[in-house]
Parts: sequence; C-alpha cells; structure tokens
Amino acid sequence: MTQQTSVSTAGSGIVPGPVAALDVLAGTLSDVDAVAHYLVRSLQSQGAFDVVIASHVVQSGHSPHQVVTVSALGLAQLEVETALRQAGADFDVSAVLGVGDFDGPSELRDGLEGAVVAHRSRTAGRVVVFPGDHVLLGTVSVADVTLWSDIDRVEMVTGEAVDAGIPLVTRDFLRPRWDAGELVLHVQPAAGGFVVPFETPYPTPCCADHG
Amino acid sequence: MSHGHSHDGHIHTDHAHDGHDHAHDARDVNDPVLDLHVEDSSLSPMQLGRRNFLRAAGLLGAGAAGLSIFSGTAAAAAAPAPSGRGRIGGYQWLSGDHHIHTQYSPDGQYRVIDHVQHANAFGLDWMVITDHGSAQHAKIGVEKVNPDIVDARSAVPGTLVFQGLEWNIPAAEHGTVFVHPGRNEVAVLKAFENNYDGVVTGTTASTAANEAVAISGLQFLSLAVQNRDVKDALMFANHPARKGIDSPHEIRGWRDAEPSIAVGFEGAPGHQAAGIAAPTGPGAGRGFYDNSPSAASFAGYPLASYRTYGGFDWMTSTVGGLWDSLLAEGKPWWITANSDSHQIWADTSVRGAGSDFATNGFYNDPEHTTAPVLANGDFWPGYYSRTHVGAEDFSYAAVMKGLRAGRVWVDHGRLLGSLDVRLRAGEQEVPLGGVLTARRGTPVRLVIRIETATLPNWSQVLPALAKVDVIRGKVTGPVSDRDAFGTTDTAVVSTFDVTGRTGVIDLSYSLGPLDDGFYVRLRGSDGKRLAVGLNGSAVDPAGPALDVLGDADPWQDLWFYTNPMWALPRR
Repeated sequence: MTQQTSVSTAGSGIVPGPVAALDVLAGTLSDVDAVAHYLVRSLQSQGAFDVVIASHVVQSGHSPHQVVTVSALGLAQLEVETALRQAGADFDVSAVLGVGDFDGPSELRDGLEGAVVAHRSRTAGRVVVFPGDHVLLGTVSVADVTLWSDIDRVEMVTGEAVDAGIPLVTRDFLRPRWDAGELVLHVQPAAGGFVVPFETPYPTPCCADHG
Repeated sequence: MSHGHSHDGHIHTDHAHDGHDHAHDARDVNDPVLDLHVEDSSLSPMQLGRRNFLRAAGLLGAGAAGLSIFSGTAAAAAAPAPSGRGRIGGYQWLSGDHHIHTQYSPDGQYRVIDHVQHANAFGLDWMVITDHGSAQHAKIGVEKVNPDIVDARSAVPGTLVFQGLEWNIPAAEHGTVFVHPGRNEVAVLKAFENNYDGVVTGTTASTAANEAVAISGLQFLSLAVQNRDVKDALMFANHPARKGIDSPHEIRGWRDAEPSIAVGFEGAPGHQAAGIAAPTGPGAGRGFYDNSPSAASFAGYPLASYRTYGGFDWMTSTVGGLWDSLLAEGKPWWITANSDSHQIWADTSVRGAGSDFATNGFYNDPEHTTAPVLANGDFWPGYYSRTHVGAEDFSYAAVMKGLRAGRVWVDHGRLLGSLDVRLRAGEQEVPLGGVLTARRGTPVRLVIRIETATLPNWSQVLPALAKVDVIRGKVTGPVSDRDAFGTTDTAVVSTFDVTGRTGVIDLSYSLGPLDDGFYVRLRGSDGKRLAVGLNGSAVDPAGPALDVLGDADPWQDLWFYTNPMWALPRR
C-alpha cells in the first residue's frame, strides 16, 4: 500500500469494497493483533490496498471473545474471503463469514454478522490496520494524524478536544475506534507534555511482577 | 473430614479438597434450613418456619432484609459510643488498609512482620494480609502465613492484623475477603479459596455460570458467620474499574446477595507510586491503571473508566457515576483506600535469593541491596493511603462493625488531621454511613469539623487542605437496569474554600427542609490538580483530573473522600 494509491474514506461513514470476517476465538488483544498483521501482509501481497482490519468483542459461542473484520480495495469479495480461509494454515480458524457464505459452527455466525455490519457502517470496532497507519510512527503532531491517515478525529479519553499542535508519541501503536461513522483516536496526557494513545502496547498484566 | 458438600450444589462440585479440615462440621453443612442452595419448596413446613424466622431476624443472607437503607441494615439511628479519650464524634477513628501482599503472593516480596512493623510505624491501627488466591496459596500459603500473622499480632500489639485473601472473584476482578481472628480463621479461608477462588476453580471467565459461583462464595462466608465458624467476615472489591470486568450488575449482585458480607469497593486503588516519572519511578499509570477493554470487559464502560482521577478509581471519582448510582438507589456501598503493597518504591531490598515460589508457595525472606528499586510502584501500608473507621473500641470486631456500618472516610498523604461529619435533623443526628429519618419539612444540616494536618506526611511535607466539596444526590430507589452506572440527580452542591486555614475548621451547610430522600457525601483536595468532572461543570466544576501517564507525583495531588449519609422522610 502506498499513500498515492490510497482513496481516503475519511468521514464517509461507509467502508467501501469487500468486507469479510473471521473468528479464531481470540481471547486477548495481542492474539487478535497477530491475526490482523498476518492478514494485511497476505492481502497486500495479492494486490490489495486501503486494507482496514478491525477487532470486535462478540458474545457468540461459549464465552465473549474477539473476532476480526477485514475490508480492502483492489481485490474481489471472493479473493478477500479466500485469503481469510487461507489464514487457517497459520491460525486455528473457527469460522469465516463472507457475502452470503458462512463456514464454521453455527453458534459463531451471529457474532461475525454483527461485526461485519459494524465494520461496514463504521459504528463500532477497534481498528488495528488502516490507511496511513504506516506513516504515523514515532512522534507526530495531532494535526498530522488526521492529515496523513484515515483517522477522522483525535480526542482525549475524557472527551475533551486536543490541541492540534500537541505532540503525539505514537509508540508505533495506534488502535483508533469507530464511533458513529468516524474513526476516532483517543489519547491521554503523558509525561513531558505529550499525549499518547489510550491503548498501550504493553499493559500491566494482572498480578505482574511489577518490579 | 470427608463430608460431601451438600451446600455446594452449583456448577463446580468436584474440587480438589486435599483432605483439608473444613471450617464447619457436618451438622452445620447439612442443615438444609441454613443451606441457601436448598429451595424453600424443598423444606418441610417446620424447616421452612425455622428458616423464615431466621430470615425475619435478618440472620439469613439471602433474606429480604438488609437490601437497602429502607430496610434498616445501615447504621439506623444515631447511637454514638460512649465518649472517651481521643474519641471524635463518639468513635475511635482507626486507620487501616485491607489490601496487602506478602512473600506468599507470586508477585510479593516481604514478610508479614515487615509490613506490620512499617504499617504500625506509619500510623495504621488495623490491616489485612491479602495474598493472591492460587493453587500454591490454597495448598501452602494460606496455612503458612497464619503463624506469621499470629506472631506479628503479639510482636506489634498496636496494630490489629487480620488474615484475609485477595480473592479472584469468579467472572470478575479481585476482592479482599477477611475474617475475624479465631480458631477457624485458616480453615474458613482455605475452604473458601478451594471452593470459590476463580483461579483455583477455573472460573475466571466472564460467564453467567461463573458469576453465580461468586455469589455462592459470598453465601459460604455468610453461612460461616451464621454457623459461628468465624465471628465475622467481610468482602470488598479491589481496583474495580481497572480492567472493566466488574460489571454494574455483578457489583449489585454481590451486595444484594449478601449485604452483610459484600459491603464496598476500593474508592482508590493501591500502587499509588506507579505514576512517578521515570527514571525516578516506574513511569506507568497511577495505580498501574493502563488497561484497555477486553472480551471480558463490560461493554458499556467508556474508555475513560480505565484510568484514575486524582488517584481514585473512576467508579468513585466520577460525580454521578457508578458509586453514586448505587447510593441513589439507597444501596449501602462503601469506599476504602489501600496500598495494595507488593514491592515498595525505592526500597533497598529484593526477593530472597534461591526462591522457588512455584514449589514452595513463598519467596525466601527479602535481602538487602544497596540500590533503591525505583521501578517498584507501591507504598508501605499507612505511608500514603488510609481508610479511617469509626470504631466503638480498639478491637477486631469493632473495626469490622465500623466498616460494615460505612463509618468510614479515606485520605491520601495524610491530607487531614481528623474529620467529624454529622447529618442533623432536629434532635437527631447520624455519623458517616448513617440513615437519618425525619418528618417532611424538618430542616436538615450537615455539620463538619476538620482538624487540619499538624504534622508533615511521609514525604516530609505538611499537607494543606484547599477545599471541601459537598456532593448531594437524590434517592431515586431501585434501578430497573441492573447495569446502570450513572445517576443524573447527583452533583457538587457547595464548595468551601479553606485555603490557608489551619487548626480546627468548623463548617456547616443547610440542606434545606427534608422533602424527598437524599444523600450527601464529602470530598476535598489540596487543590493542586483540578478539572471539570466527566459529567460536566454543572455536576462537578472542579473535580479530580485525569492522572498523567508516567508523570503523576502522588504527593502533589491529595484528596479525601467520605462515605455517604442519607436523609429520608418518615413514612
């Protein structure tokens, strides 16, 4: 994917192109991110661009878990779905949902269907891969974020506006979220007068050896 | 003892019991009247009559009594204890901490006596040892820690030392469970851990079945008290908003199932040194609050709930938030502030060499190292966080009774010297946690006496109180949505600017003639970090600010919070 070929979908409210979903019964955010990074490489190697990959919590199956939704331009619906099925070579794929086509245990279908609707309408989801993410590395200004990527808005986790000139230390890890058709990056104040994304790449695990 | 668990008829009936001694004997366990897993319809008329008698007396946990302030479980009328030396408002205010880890936790380090000595030196009157529930702890730690606690009780008689557990609440976060000392304290805690700890029983996943296990655990504790296996037992939820996995309906569920056991949550989590900037400190989130929503999280919680505000948990720091939604229901639910001490910031000791926790269930005694460990995120018990309980005397029973009554306020960094709060209507008054009932139209007044700090705190600074906020909420009764986490009828209604004042500060605030029921609670600050609250300036114009990731000096942002008092019109 290059910036030149990107067709910005910022603010459009609807994700264009094929959308499909897969369920690997991911329990954690890092599990789901691993699947997303595998898929983006796979899709791009087949010529896809403007790939968007998101995670969604679903209640289907035995217990709540994360599923992955994918959209891309430059590939046909069937090609995207095939790429998702092929992920089974590296991940334990439990279900894949395409257009009118579902493979997997029936109890997982509802969760994937809801996730696809959320992805297409950009109403909910934690976005792992999005156009422009590869240029938002290191420290950038808040203004750069909306200029260079599909992120529509940057706001404080408390809902307040963020001054456009404040440096954002990306930690090379951005997980914006869809909210009512917009892609929003939530940030928080951090040491040094910077802001950092809400989601940290290395959260404190439960009962960690904090020392 | 090899009796079957007749009271244990929920989903996990096949626990590893290791042949441990059970807290209660077969007579108690097999009494179907007391066994709340036995339905009323399964009892004989005589048995049902006996159960109903116990219920009416408020002695059965799941009885209708005690679910709210309307049924009179909370401290009903004012019954101040006899006045004595050092008493404030008729009570001895005993400072404590119910969340402390030792070398018997997989992420701990210190001996019991290390904590008890420090806690005593830093001014704590009571403390609870709460090592994590785990397979090793259930097998080894829960027993081995007891003689250490018993020894500490006699070595340091000025501080009451409870044995407890940091319970992995099935389907939820951690919680403190502790019991009154006695012959069966270990047996009850061990049986509880083996049967109801989420990690030990594999019930951590956020499912309805596991939520039911949590309720069964609380019922077990209630039964242990009714059976007099232990004199008393309490549960507080710890760091409730840290990972978003304590859903509002679970919190309501614990309280409603066993209102005499599950009585509150941490208003402020421990790990208060975690936000000290690197390289001087860990440079993490204050309280180590740095998580994001997971599949186990309650989906309704906003991202803002995963962070701390002025060192306090979002459920408590948000005016009109989750805590207020419980109080507006008339549900007694109390806050505390604790250290969650595991490893102390800038301490010069490390875990003992050659430790093998997995095999032994403990770390070897700590050893000296020259360099202070600046990546540790905790303070010693009493050093920063304090939970002050109005007790009738200096005893284990009185501390537990005061906690259950909500006669509790909390502070950070010794912000206040002392605090006395009463709600008055005519001739009546109640202390913190109390419920005042009076005729409609009776003028209600809040009377506050603060003694400012006269001694420096443990950062060698004399804390200066800048303001006191009065927070008032309408009592709206039970919610229809058990997952509600806000109320629109609670706001800061008055702020006293006390900047520069020292010594005794007397404040009085008229709450007007009593009409519909309401509650009030207080909050105050050193005024150093203020921000508009999450529900807007009309609700909270100058509340605690979102803590800065990696740069939250806890000594430069001090708050106190009180528990609420209710005023209700007489029916």
